[in-house]
Amino acid sequence: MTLSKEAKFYLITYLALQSLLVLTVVISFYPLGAWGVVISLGVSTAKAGLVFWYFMEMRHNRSIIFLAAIIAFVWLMILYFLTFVDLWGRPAFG
Amino acid sequence: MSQPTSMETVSDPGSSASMPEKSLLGMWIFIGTEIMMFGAFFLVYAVYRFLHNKAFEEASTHLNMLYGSINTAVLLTSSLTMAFAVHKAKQQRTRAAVMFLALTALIGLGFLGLKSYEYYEHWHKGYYPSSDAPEWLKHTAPFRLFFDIYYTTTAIHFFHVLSGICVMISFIIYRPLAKTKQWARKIEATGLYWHFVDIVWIFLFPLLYLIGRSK
Repeated sequence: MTLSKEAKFYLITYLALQSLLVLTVVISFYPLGAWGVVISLGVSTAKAGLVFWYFMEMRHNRSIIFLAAIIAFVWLMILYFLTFVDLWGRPAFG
Repeated sequence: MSQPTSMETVSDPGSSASMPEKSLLGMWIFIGTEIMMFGAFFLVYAVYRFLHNKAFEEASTHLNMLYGSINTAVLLTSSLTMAFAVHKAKQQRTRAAVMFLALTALIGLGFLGLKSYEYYEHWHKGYYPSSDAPEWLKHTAPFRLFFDIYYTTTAIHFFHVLSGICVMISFIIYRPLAKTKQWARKIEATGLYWHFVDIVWIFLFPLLYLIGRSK
């Protein structure tokens, strides 16, 4: 059985995703303090990026679809940014 | 990054406002509303973890990391089979597409099975609002908060997976009644939804299961 180019792409993406899963579990056992959250979220973002780019076929979209796909995420980042500015800016909470 | 040269089965280039694009655009707008809903949950988690980091880390160690890891691997596998189903549907190889779709639904059911078993274990240990709850959970508000967020997010995710499986099964049944091309578009949109649900779990898993493990 010969694999098509697309099938190979999917399989490589899949192997990368599973490797990142192992990585994130292994890293969680190391005492990294505040960096633990940053690295863990970084690995998750990389995994989400692989799914978004390869499985959701974003690499073939450069148009209005791309805009629709990322705009909700952009609004959300504004919400997160403003909330954390508030939390960090109030010594009573920190 | 090199682009694949044979693109004829992937999309129809040149037709910028074609039907496939419209159906995908619709699905992406729906996913946008989902991103904002789950985003609000993640914000609630982030704020309370910021305020009660130590308690969240301790509460997290009461979850079974092995179940969470297996379920992540299971869901990633279902995303692979879904990608194949969409790929085959676009090539109009519907028999193979139906097979991969059924496989995806089956793997999704595996995820739900393990998650249900995990909930059953929580029930036995008393990890729910009741007088039978263990002392550490009963008397510490941030621990209860962590479990509230855990149940809310995983349960909503659970129903998303369940909905995805129902949609897949109905499209398998509906297959003989539909035109091949139209059916392929529906499968492509379903695939986007399924991958999105996978992405939600990709973030839920480390935030709920993996914090406080290094202590």
